[in-house]
Amino acid sequence: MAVAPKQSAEGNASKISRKRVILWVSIFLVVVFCLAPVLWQLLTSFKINDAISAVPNVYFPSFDQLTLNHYMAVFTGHPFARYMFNSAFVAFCATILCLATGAPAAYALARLRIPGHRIYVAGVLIVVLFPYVLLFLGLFEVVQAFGIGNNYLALIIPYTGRNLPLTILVMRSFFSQLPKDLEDSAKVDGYNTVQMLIRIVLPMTVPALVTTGILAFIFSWNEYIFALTFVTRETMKTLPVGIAQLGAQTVFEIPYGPIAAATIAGTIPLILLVLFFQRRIVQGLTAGAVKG
Amino acid sequence: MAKLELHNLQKQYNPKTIPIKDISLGVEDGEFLTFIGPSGCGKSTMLRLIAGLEEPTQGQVVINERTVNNIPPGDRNIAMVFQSYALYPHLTVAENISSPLKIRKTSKQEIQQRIQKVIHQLGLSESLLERKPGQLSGGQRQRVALARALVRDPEVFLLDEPLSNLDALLREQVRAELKQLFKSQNKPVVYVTHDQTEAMTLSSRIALLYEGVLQQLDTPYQIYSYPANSFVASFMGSPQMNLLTLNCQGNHAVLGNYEIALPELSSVPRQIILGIRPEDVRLAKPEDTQTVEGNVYLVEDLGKEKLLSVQVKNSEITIRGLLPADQTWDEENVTLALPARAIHWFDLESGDRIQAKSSQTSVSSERKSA
Amino acid sequence: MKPNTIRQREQLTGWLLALPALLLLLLVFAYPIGRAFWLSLFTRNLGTELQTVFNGLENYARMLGDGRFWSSLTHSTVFTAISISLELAIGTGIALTLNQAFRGRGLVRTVAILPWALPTAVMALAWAWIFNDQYGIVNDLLLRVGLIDQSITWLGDPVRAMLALVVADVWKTTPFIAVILLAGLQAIPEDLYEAHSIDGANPWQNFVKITLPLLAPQMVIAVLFRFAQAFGAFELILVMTGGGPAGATEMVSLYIYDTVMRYLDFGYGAALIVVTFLILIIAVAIASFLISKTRIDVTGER
Repeated sequence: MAVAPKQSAEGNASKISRKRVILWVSIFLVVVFCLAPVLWQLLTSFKINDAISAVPNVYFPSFDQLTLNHYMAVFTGHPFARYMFNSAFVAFCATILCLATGAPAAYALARLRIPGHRIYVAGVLIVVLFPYVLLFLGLFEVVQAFGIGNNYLALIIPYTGRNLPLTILVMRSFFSQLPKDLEDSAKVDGYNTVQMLIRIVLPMTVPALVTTGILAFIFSWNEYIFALTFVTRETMKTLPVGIAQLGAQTVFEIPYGPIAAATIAGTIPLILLVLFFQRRIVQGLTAGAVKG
Repeated sequence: MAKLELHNLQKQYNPKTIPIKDISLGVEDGEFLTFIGPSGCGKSTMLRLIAGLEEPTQGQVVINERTVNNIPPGDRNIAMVFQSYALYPHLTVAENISSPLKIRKTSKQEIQQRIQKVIHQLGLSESLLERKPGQLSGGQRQRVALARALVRDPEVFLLDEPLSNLDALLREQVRAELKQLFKSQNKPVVYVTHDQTEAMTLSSRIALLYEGVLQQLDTPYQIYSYPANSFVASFMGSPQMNLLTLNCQGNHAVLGNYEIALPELSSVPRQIILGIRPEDVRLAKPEDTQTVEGNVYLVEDLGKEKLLSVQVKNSEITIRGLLPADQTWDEENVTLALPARAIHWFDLESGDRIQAKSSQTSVSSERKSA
Repeated sequence: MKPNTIRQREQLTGWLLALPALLLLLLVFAYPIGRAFWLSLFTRNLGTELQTVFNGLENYARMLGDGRFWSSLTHSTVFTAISISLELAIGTGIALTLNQAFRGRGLVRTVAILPWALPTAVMALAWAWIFNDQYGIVNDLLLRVGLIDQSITWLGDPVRAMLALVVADVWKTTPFIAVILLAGLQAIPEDLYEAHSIDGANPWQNFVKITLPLLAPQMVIAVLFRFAQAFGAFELILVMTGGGPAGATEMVSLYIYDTVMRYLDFGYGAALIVVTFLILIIAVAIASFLISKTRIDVTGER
């Protein structure tokens, strides 16, 4: 009598541990899958040229195979700091503008039941899918017409517009989750719609603003095709364009080390953002895609 | 001096959804009017129409002789307490209470004075002022919500089920405090609840709503003693009034083998509704003339009283009676007295109360003009 | 008309609040698309000295006989189809893994969305380096494992170049799908599995009978987003292969860009944009139809 249950308990235990093994193997695979290309680039960025071009590859460089020279080369030989500033400035301005125009619009669409809001939302839902390549021609003409080529505005305005649909969708879903009583109470207290938005509604949705802001910032920082097309002056280029053109100088030998160093240096701000705001990014992506 | 009037108020979302159908009434200074009714009867919509959070399809909301239909809620000089309290979670208690004053650019000194006065009135401790609503207990939140309403010194108070989120013990205590508080304010108060005890204890008048129609507007006593129709009769009072549909024969209504005398009527209908509250039903004494005999099939012990369900002999009809807990009776069969004075008669078709000519003098129901 | 009622005033304010965003949306989306429609009816290239000359539907006629357009369309379709299938499979795996409870889950989730957050153009360089003919880690690993005898060329070979692009794209965008699917998984109530297990179902049956059907709406949404992105994929291809070798990986987006920016053929470029736009709109229509279908199915089953 006592034997049988014990056996099945052991059977259970081995089943559970087998499940755990499968789980940890998949976790390991996920981590390797996601990190390997970045780690390889990180390793390359610190290796001396001989180690970079060694066959077979050097996975564990010795101490004298390591160097910081590639980073020095990137920051001294190219206006790398300038690229970084350009990217940061453009992305920051676009994010702020996007929130400043997108949040009120999202609120109006979520709560004020304006005539035509269905069409507005449907339009936003469709354009959120549009790839950049459909837009660059028309925008290129606009940029030329306004004479703002090689001007930060040539990127800030398109980025703001490009990120508006997602911002509106995410913020709208947050606004419609707010308890309505609070706004009714504010109305009775004497707030008009704008005062209510600024003093009551937006302070309560700061987390949502941060979420959408981070998404807009990442998209703007990473954007390539507009930055490549609308800006040609070296000192106005953004980071992705600046780094990509390092690799395009194929006439001579490709500078693998500096490219790797530039990649790492240029992605550190994003890595930090992801580290600190993982939860918010996930929340924003989900709200934008699923709730819309 | 303030007065709230509603003139032929109607709210229609679409031809099938009409939460409010033509309601007119007035509330004076110091009056405490309660809207009560089953859920979906339009009572909350009523309050939102008065506040201006929704706009009437027809009719006027008049405050102090001024039609406020097109005046936004904030400029109507009304204060509203919400069921959820609706405290701003990102503001401190002090900021919450002062928010209606600040938005009107009241001077800092005056805001300070008024806050002090109101928290004193409500027994809110000063140490709470710097806390956020999330750090307060349910009872404290409720008080802060009241404070935010009182601090404005508005012309009309609107309260939407302000007690329903409190636990039962606290609710009874706060109910008593509310009554005193608003007595001292001497302003029109409009209150919404689904709890008839609250309605009875707090109100100077009760407005009973059902399907967007005002069923009766009267003092708690009148509503209880002279319900205007069978719906009001069944809604107010617990346990529910017995409502029996009986055939009429000559001057009598027939209940099993028994005959119940009808009031003097101009014409006797074929059928009629007899209503009698369980607390008016008692065991028959020898001198009682109007009695029915029946079989006790269920006894519910309420502690203070016993609720008997009795099936009337030779009929399908059940009568429930509330008897003192110490009273005893023959286990199987009882004879119940149905005192003529306690009987309410209602028209079967319309449900309206049928006024016995003899007792008409004591009734002054402000029936709606249908 | 002067607004009188509270509602009218509120709506007026609402429109004023929604207006700046609307203007920006019109400028950034409506104008370029409308402009492309208009310009597609004209010839404007070096041949006309960049003057705009009306030609009716000539651009579209030219497209029919344009082998480069059709092959770019084929490449885009192949790339999109293979990428999305792999992403859906791997993304589901990642989502299922991340949905389990384990120590350090937050950190693993952070790692898992990292590829999505990094700039595509920059990571395309990293992937070009990984698939490098001489020093690439892919060749090195394959040599060590013994699958190949000598280094092979990746980005210089038509098929392998496409494969490399797919791998890079899968790496970059699977996290997005995983995040969407994870949200879907978290919304499935645990008691459904418990009830099903009590009925004697094994984990695989659970997955097929419960997880997949309930996850269907999220999958359709994720695929729709990815379809639009993959069909418009640009910088990955430009930076990794430049459309080469010999146009073997040239996709619609790259062809559009070259037509406009390199050959300065604005009219024809606009026509290409219009066609791509229409393909996208059709895809959106199909997807929204599917979404409404799956939603009904899911609720119908309960």
